[in-house]
Amino acid sequence: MSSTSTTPAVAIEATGLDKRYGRHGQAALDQCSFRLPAGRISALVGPNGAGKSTLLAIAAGLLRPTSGHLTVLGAAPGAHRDRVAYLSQDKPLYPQLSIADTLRMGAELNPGHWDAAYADRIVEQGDLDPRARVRSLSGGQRTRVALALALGKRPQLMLLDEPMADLDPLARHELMGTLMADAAEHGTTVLMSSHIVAELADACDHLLLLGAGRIRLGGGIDDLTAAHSLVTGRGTAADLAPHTVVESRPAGRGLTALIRRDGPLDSAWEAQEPSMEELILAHLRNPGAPALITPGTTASAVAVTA
Amino acid sequence: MTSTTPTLERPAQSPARRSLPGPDGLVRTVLRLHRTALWVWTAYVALTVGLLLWLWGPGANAAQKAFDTFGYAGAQDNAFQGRAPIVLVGGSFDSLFYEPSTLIGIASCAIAVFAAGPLTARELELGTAQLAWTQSVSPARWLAAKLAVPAVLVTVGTGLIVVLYRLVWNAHNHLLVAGIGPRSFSFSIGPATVATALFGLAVGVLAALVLRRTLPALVAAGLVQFLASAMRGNNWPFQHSPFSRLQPELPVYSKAITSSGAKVPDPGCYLSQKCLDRHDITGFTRTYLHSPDYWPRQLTETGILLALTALAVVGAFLVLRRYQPRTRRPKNTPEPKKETAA
Amino acid sequence: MRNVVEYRIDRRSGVATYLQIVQQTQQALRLGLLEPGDKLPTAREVVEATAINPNTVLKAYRELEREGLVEARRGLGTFVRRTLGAAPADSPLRAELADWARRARAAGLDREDAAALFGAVLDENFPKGDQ
Repeated sequence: MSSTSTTPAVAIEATGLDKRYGRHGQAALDQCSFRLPAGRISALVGPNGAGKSTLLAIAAGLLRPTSGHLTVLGAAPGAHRDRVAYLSQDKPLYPQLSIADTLRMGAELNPGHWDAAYADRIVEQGDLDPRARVRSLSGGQRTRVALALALGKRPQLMLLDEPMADLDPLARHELMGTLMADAAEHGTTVLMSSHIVAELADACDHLLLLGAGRIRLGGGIDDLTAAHSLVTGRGTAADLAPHTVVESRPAGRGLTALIRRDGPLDSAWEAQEPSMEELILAHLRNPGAPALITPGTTASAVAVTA
Repeated sequence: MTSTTPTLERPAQSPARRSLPGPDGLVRTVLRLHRTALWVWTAYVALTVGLLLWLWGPGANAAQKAFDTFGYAGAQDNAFQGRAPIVLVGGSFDSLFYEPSTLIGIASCAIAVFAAGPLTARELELGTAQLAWTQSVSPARWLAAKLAVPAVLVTVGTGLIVVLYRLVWNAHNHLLVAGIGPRSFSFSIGPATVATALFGLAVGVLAALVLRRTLPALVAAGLVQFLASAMRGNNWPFQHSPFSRLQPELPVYSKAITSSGAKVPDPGCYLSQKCLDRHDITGFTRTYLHSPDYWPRQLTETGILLALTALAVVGAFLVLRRYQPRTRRPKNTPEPKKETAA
Repeated sequence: MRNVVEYRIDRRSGVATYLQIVQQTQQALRLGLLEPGDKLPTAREVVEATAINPNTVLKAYRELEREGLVEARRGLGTFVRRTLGAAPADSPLRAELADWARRARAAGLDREDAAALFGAVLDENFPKGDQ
């Protein structure tokens, strides 16, 4: 792996990551392996309880995996706290501090790389009085302050757990724009979870679909959608061999199916490229479909079998 | 490449100094987060110091006058006459003298409760500790600051009070009613008082990290500290002799002074001026002598309390590591990682 | 230099986001809102306003560059190279089309009929693969 002083080409790499809560608890992560290349804006998607928050907390250095291995910016999680920002789902802030004091804390706890003007601007954009106490803010306003704190440290990697969940549409658009501008300017890698797929469809160029604790789909969104087709035609699912049928449903006398292509497609089928949303929903509805992880998103190390 | 990404200004990662947060930033943050506690502590120290200064000066005047006239009997009479019904207000020198020591006891329990609750467990419960850990501060540094800043304030505040208290004792111990009061006081106030307060801090933080929830941590820490305070004085197993649970005797030097300046035994006139005249007594001198048992007892107690404090601190750091991912590579992962083509 | 285009992204249009940027730029060129030498907004400006992925903007700009409509100047930005001014608002072609529409209406065609007819002729003369 590259040295710590330069931006590593790999932002996060997980190998055989397991996390169990309690001795006999159900696995939140189960042999989860993937690689997130640097500079991508990745959507971490999955049903509730799929392990999204667990994965993000482990990457942030806040939770210890039961077994397996994870590197963040080429080192153990928590080794590069100054270069990684994390926003947890409940956006904790000190209720007794004012917004200005919260940002001052950001400056004090991130010396040498705190961008005060930038953090202030994000807060001002939301028409917030810097003297207001965090206690008195609405959920969406708190999210804005928490994001200002996360962006103000100018991280190379942002781990965002449901960042936009309690924002109104305008604030969501503004803050997503701010996030994208940051990524455009600094090449920040972003990994953000959400169960609202539409929220992420335009902002992200990379997808990690978690299901039952492991990656079901992983890779660039264009690559993933290009590898699949939404086909309609007369025939049965068996006629679609050798392609992998992710999902099929009857359509009149024939069927509509989402397939993962293996070789050219018979021209008898009318084929379309699925949207990211269609792709995700089909895989969520069919947990049995085999996983697809593109080569760039595959972890390099040999999987650890604990 | 040159023509495809011109509108994306991606400056090469500036080799900006990404220094660790200096201790000052972290210290300022801890102080700001616990501003209220800081005010309460300051108020407590100011109040206690004020009370001690008053006892040192004007507070002792009435008792001193009675002593000058009738000797120990006068001081005793003053103490019995003026017993205060209300804490801290009014009252004789003898009753007020022990008030700061009550305050010290309350403060040490309050320190434990604060350390367990607002300082630590509440942060874990609200998730704000994790917020701090995802800035550029490692949990260990965070905990170190959380322990060091209050420890300095507690040491300075309690130390100041203890020194002042001993000065008041040295100046006025002849005005106190003899018995268990002065004896127990004399053996308990000293470096061990400061060590007790620090022990409360460490126990509170440890309880919070182990229990992780505010209320249980706060109750547990308060209880442990209450028990520790109750052991102070003469109840530690290492303190009492097989024969007595009382502190060692405190030798007292008490004489009456005749008009010629000779120091004679107190004739025991109680409050009779006629009797004093008959014995030609014009004044008194009385003081508790320094007990040779004081320093050995204080230093043993201080040493043991500080050792327990150190154990609690080490325990706290060990428990904190449980919250963290391992920094070392697990054994079953191949050591040199192979880079395969992406 | 001022930004002269503001992109509008319609999530429900079914058109790929990058294509929406391409089409809106082409539209701006056709309507004369953009002229050679004009600077397109930077990727940062576009994504800040639209909250879309920066790579989507780059992809759109690359597509415009491939079509020869814009050129990227290193460190300066992306500039319009040529216009798509084939049909200025007052061209004779437009007048002829307006005339055709009037006649179609007089012949009893409604809006959809006319649009379908126009679309069919377009498809005939500009086959899809051409673009």
